[in-house]
Amino acid sequence: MALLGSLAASAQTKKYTNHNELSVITYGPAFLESGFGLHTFHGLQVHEKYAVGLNTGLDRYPVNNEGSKWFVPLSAKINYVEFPARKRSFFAALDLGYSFAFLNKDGSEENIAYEYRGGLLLNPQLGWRFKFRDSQKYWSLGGGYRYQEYTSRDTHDEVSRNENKYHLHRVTLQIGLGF
Amino acid sequence: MKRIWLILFGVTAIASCDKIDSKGQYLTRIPVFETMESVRAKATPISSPIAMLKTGKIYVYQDYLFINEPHKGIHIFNNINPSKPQAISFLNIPGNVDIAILDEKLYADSFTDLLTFDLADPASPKLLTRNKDVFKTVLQMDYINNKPDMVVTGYRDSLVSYSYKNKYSPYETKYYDYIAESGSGRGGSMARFTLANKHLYAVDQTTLHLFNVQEASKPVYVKDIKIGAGIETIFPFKNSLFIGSNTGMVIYDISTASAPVELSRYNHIRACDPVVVNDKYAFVTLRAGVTCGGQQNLLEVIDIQDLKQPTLKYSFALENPHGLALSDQTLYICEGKYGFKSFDANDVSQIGNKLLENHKEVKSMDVIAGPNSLVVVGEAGIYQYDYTNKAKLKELSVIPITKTN
Repeated sequence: MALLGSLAASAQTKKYTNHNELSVITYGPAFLESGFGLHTFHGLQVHEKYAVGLNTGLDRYPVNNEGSKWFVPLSAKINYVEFPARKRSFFAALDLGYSFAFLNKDGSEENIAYEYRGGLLLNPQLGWRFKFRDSQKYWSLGGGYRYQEYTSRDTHDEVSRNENKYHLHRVTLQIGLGF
Repeated sequence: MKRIWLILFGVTAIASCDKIDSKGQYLTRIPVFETMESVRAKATPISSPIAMLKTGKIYVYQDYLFINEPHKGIHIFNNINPSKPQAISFLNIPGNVDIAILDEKLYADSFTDLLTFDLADPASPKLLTRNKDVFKTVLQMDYINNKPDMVVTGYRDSLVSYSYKNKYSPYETKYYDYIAESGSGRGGSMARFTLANKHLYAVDQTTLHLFNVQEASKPVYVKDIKIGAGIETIFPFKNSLFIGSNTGMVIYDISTASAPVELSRYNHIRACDPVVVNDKYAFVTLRAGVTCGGQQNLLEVIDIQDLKQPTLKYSFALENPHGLALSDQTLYICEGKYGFKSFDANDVSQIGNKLLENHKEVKSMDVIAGPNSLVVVGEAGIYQYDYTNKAKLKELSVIPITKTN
């Protein structure tokens, strides 16, 4: 929040930029067991080609054939646009942060207690953005790779326990809108 | 513009997966494995009487009762007065499941070995001979330490830790376990012993192990005969051996005791079946349930006047029959948790309908018609009855079985 505040404060010298994306998060070519992500990036254009800021949102996708899990990602993001002045331009981005798993309810049934914990997030991305006629607004198409760690723990009878640490590797396809 | 499609297509051409590192611990009972050398080295045969926690085979020998406690040994009781049986000693035999007595000799199994004891002083049997490694089906792999040819001497509570890696991808239907710990043990066999024609016949679930006991103190291993799966009981009668399995009964001719010859197989529906026999008929009980895999609880009367062609004559419904015994014209049947019954066997065509007594409170498993008393193995203990009047039993004593928590 402090970072966002300080970004807003320096907005008068640097331009505020925003990019919102809807993603399909999937394992690969055939979209078996895929989910979605909604992300919103708020940052500052620190250079004509580079923007830095914070990216957050909501992910929900199936994990290990056990059903879908919720993630609330919060990451630092750097965005690079090759030809910012042109109508069409290639772009690349990198997210590095942490996803929270608190939306998955910890719980207990019978004598088994469940807990979920989030983990590291890494999401490089490549794509193209297309400016609307006579505007700074644009839409984008992109693809990326998403790496997410997450942990689930279950405890039975206070003695027997199991911990699974997941390293999730996914492919993402995004459509976005920004200004 | 072409690049965008290249990127999008390129991205979807990659197949990703989930990698899972699992670790944890759980509480379980794991077997204690030992080698036969170690078991033999620890042999300390006679000790003072101990509490009886479970009962197996019972032998009535002279004025004594020999009661097997499975896997532990034999409780020896002085039964000169069946109303007051006295515990006199305990014979430690690790891995013991069955016993047979003949000519002052006691034969007992101890895991893979056959032991012969001298009963000159029945209160204090002396070990005469050990035939090593004759019941090899009892041996198991120690999967914890990866050692073959071990026996399970007990169980202990243990907190077992594990860790393994898994990989999941919807494009591959297999899971890959590449560092995994799994436990699996296979149980040993249950020997059933009987003596006939100077030979000891010991059956486990599939095989008849034959020993020559012409020289009673030194059994000589003869051979193994494969008889089929699911063998449960063995009953000798004159020159025949009746072996009950969970699919039927096999009859062997043992006129040449060292070379049993299969005469016939009587197959029926799947169930456990103890059998007793007289000159004309074999009385077979079938018990339904998980262990036996059958659906019916029956008493079957089979005509065995032609041993090569046993024929089912009559069939009667029972509740949950276990062991049985025939004494003159009375058939005693243990009905498990339903009690202990006696039937008039004068007219076998009506035997199931001629109930003499039903002791519902005696949850019974096996019965022996002894010379001085009728011995019934029950859940609560060993009951002894005066059966001078076969139709009216008089309870003499109960040797209690100590319940463990």
